Amino acid sequence: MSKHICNNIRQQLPDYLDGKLGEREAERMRTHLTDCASCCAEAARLRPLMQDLLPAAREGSADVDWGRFLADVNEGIDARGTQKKSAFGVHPGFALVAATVVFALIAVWMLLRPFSGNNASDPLLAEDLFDAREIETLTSLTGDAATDLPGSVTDASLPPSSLTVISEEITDVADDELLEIADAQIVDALGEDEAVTAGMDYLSDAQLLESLSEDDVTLIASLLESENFMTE
Amino acid sequence: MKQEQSEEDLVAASRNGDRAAFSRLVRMHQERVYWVVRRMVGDHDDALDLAQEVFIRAYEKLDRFRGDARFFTWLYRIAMNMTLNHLRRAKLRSFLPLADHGDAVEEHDPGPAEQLESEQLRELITDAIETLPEKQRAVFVLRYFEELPYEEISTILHTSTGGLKANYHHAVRKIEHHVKAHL
Ligand SMILES: [Zn+2]
Repeated sequence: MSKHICNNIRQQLPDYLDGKLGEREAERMRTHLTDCASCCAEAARLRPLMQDLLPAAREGSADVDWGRFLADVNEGIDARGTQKKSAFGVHPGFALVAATVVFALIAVWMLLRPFSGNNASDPLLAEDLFDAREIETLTSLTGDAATDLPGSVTDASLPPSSLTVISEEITDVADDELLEIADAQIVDALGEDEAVTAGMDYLSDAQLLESLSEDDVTLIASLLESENFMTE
Repeated sequence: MKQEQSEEDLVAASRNGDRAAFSRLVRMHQERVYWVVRRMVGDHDDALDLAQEVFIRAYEKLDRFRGDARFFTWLYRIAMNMTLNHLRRAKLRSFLPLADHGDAVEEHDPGPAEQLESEQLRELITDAIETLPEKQRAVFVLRYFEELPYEEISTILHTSTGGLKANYHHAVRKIEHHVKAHL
């Protein structure tokens, strides 16, 4: 049995066992499973989980006062509405944004290291990560704040600590947008297959921290500690 | 009462500052948003906070919603971004020497003997899900619990559909492995 076919089949096994395949695909699956011992073994292995154990986890109950939930949401909107006007300077979301910027950029920067060393045929250059398109995106998000970025960020030797300087220039970017950009860049950089086999756990924080200097860790910690966005 | 207002109308009204319309959108989607977040983070209180934040954020950014995806898909995206962000920072915190990680190692009480077996099973599954890398967890939650098509998952997670099936399969395998080891 071709390895490629088996790979495809196996990727569909959870959906098959969960009854999510269309009739044609299910038929193809059944045929393959009667012919292929190793895929059949894999199916047997996953069947108890997919058909007995997981369904029990589907039913969950939570004790939530939804009226209160809505009231809290509205309160949050009101509170944020007034804070939004205070714009520059001591922006309450700033610390969070800064932390995320540092984090996201460091993560991207980190990718330059393991790969450029081990994979000489395809060295990852900073230009690959921060190409014109990405800069454009960033610029459109941040306005003038990002216009100074290209020169400094495309320098592959940029130490993580310098990134805080950049983060200070970006005061008004939503964290999730930055993360999206960072994610897209990382997946781009890894190549999709690699990102998948890495479990897409591309932000290997332990690895990341191992390679950071103590100062950087302290810096990130203080940024995280000072953000009051999520914890309050 | 105009009960027949479509979701589109409600979104448009909310965008113009109609808070009553937005409240209706919240009521329509609050439980699903809560559950998708809850399944990602495991903890009820964190999930409540995050889910509320999702709606607050959605209201603030409503003018960015272009209507090329369903409103709920867009909400899911915000929810997933915020949740992944939350998980990353929680994980980072647990590695930081300066942070107090009193709750990093969570001791699970064995629980009273009369505790329902299915409840234990649910906990075991929850634990297993928590061992997954964040994005894999996201794929698993969206596919298994939310039963979304891969195309929609790719929109929510901002990835191509290519690797999603493989991701889902990996997630299921890891959960199987964890469950088998702890049963
Ligand atoms: Zn096979």
